[in-house]
Amino acid sequence: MGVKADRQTEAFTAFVRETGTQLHHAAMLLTGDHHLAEDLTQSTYAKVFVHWRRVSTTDSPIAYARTTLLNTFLSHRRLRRNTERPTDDVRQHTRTDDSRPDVDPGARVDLLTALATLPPIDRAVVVLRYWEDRSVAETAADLGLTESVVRTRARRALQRLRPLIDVPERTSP
Amino acid sequence: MNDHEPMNDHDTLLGPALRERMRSEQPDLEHLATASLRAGVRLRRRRTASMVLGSAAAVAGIGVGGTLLAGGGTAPSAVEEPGLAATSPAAPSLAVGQVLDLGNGLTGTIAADDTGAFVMGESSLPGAGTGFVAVVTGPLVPLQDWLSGGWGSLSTDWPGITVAVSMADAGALGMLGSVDEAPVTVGAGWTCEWFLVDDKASCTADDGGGASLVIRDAADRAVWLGSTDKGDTSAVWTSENHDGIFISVQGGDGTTNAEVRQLGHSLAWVD
Repeated sequence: MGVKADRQTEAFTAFVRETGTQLHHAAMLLTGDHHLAEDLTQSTYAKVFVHWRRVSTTDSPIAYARTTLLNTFLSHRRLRRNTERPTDDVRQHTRTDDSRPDVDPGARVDLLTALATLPPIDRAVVVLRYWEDRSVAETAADLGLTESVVRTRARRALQRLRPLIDVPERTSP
Repeated sequence: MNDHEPMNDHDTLLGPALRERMRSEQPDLEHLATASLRAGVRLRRRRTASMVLGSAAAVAGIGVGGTLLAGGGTAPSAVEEPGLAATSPAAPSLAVGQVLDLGNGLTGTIAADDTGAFVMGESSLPGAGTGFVAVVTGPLVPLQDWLSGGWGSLSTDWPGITVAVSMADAGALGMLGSVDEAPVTVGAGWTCEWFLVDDKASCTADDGGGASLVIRDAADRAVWLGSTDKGDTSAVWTSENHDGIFISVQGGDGTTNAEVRQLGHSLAWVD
């Protein structure tokens, strides 16, 4: 391997170290599963490496990586279409088992589990809008959706997720 | 319970809740860097190998085909195997579920059909393998070598056999395209034949003019449009991003730039 290739490898490796946590977190939110998130993150960086010579000269390689992550996640969704079954009722899949005496029936439902029940594109909208703090216009451009669709999907996701995090504080009378 | 539906999608609680949830998630960055680099190198090599695979198979005279085409696809091409005697020694019959040891860690599991598998080709010479499908799997590099090298002695041992790989292996070999079905329909006056494994379609107009459609990664759209030898020309029409991809339309013989634009505007996404 030549000197130039070695420098590219070093630069790419440094880029992964700097951005890996951020990308891994986004992957966790999208997949809801640690192993799937590892696979997704690794696949993303592998694709970035293929185009590294060009990507490294752009204004924001992390933006390219984030877009690649989302596109990889959504394109895999098309191949796994029959195995993903988003449900309408988050609580149906996240309710704790009240019959188990050691389980606190008031325990906060895991946000990742709740996210995983959303359709994949809705998860992508949530990650971009509320995790990456992207605007509606930016989210629409990233996902190839109209702004109206982004708002609709975001509102739908909020309706499902907000009740899970907005647990009221109760005090004894 | 909230009394009011949000008037827009603005929210100040979900973001912090997501960050709090992710706080304890710390990936092994060294492992990620090493594994990503290794995977990236393999991906580069795989993209080259998939082109070599196709050309080497053509040279060997073995048909390489896929069944992931719109409209039912085409049957894998069956080719003659020069030099093989018309009769071969009698061989024990195959059985569904039987696993063949193909060497170098490769195995071929015998199936009755190619359901769920990606067909690589078949031997046309009738024999003990006729009607059976060998779904071959194993380490990626030996698998690539085996496929590009003419399938070892499999077609000699079992004439008539069909060779396939799993969808997962097909993806790892770079055999799958960006989508698994035609992503768009075209308007009246055009007929397109899709080659999904190559992310391409070849289109013919009623008046005989030609054009090609190419499926491209949405992440590449900005670069594509900014390049004068790619999307930044009146001879090419480029779609918006949709579901992680975009499509470029380029004219062929007998097709004007106006007709290219007309074809592009006639495309309708299939969701």
